Amino acid sequence: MDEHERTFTLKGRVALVTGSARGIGWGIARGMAQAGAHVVLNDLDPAALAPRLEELSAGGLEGSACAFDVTDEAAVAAGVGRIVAERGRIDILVNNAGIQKRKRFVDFSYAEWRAVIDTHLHGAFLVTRAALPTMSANRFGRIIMIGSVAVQSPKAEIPAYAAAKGGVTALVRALAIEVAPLGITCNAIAPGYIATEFTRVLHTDESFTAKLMERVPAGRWGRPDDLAAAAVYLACAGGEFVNGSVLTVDGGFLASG
Amino acid sequence: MRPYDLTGMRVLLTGASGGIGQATARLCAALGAELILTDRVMAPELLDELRASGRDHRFIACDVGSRREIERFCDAIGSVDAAVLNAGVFPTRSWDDEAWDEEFDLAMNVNVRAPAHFARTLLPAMKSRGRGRIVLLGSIAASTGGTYAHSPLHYACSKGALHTMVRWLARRAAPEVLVNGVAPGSTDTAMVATADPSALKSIPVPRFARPEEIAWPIAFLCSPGASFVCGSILDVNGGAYMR
Repeated sequence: MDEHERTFTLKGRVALVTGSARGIGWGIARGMAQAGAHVVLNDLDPAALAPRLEELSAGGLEGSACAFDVTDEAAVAAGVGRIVAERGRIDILVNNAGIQKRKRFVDFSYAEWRAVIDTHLHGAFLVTRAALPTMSANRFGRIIMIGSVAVQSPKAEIPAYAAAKGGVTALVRALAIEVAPLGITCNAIAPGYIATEFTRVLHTDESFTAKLMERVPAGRWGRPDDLAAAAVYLACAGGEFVNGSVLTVDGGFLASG
Repeated sequence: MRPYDLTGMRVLLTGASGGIGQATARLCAALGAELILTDRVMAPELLDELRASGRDHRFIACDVGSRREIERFCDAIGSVDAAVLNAGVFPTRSWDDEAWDEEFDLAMNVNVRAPAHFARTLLPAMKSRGRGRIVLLGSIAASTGGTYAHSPLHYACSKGALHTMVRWLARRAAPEVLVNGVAPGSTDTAMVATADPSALKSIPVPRFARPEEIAWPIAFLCSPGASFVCGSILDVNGGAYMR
């Protein structure tokens, strides 16, 4: 066993990544599986998870699927209960599930506003609360929230998303204090502009991309894989003393604002 | 896939003889890097220990107080894939002390001016080769002004300047070169020998960081896994300060 496997391994860990059928969630889930974790994939739609499980097993990686709606309290409790019954525990939780609604603040209906806040913020609350008992029983847990550069530097027409991510980021700090004595850390990764289905309307727009690149020193859209190593770092032995932190992975977007 | 593998990389590490420096040297060597170490004096036996891995690590002394000396040093070592600019001083005098003025200059020279000269000298070659990483060692003091009531002003100011330098450099060095920082909280090294452990009671993870815990994010930022991390400062402080 060399240093890479000793320090940066997730071997023997069980990681639940919500919203991991595609995009950032899938990039992080695959990275964690490559680091040796058993990853539990999650999405609303079980059919979306089947091909991802096949990809994992084709790569010799470990995973299983647990479909549930992160905003449905009973479904979350049942889903997390099923994972703990099957895998014995949850060591790592990545709260990634979320939706986007692009429109001006004044045009938001209350239902639309609530739907965005519900998935990102209330979903993180429900899944984390359900997973905490197994983590504290094991005196080990790594909770990773997905924040956003939109908390500090939003573009127009994503007010609910920016507010939800601001809430999630504040929750990281509040929760870090509560869970630290239990051997659990809570941190966030704040992605910049990552090319996924979530941002399709933006990254397929050449004029938006040209303008955006004036503010991204790295000179390209991010890829879901760019976030994987950061997530593994926070979850592995090497991340033990990182608590309440936001790790920004944005190609320099915030630094050049 | 081994996202943190440093095999084939030549890594310059300043301040290599201190606590965080030695831990970083050991980790980067164990992850496959070839190291060029520098400090005022060499840590006894560190080089022999590192060379046991079979790679040709070198120690070259450098006076980081002089622009010319830093330029000569960088010319002599040839191209590097990553530079970990970790050398720093932690002066402790109060500003009421006459000698504080001299210490203020020392803090700024070693903690701010020297890494600027290293970056200035190394960047053109990194940019023309199309790749490079620079990691600067900041501090929680940049955000808090210092953990303790007696935390020194000049040290905190110098680290604040260094955090600004991360952002200044990041947008000018990219896309070829990625510049980031690591901001440790109180770490168990000779540098915090004066720190009062009882002050740690109030932080969520109530202990000093171990030097390896600072080396890990440094290695991460040098590695292929950090390919989109740019202008970031990673806080490693057990929750002592959250921003």
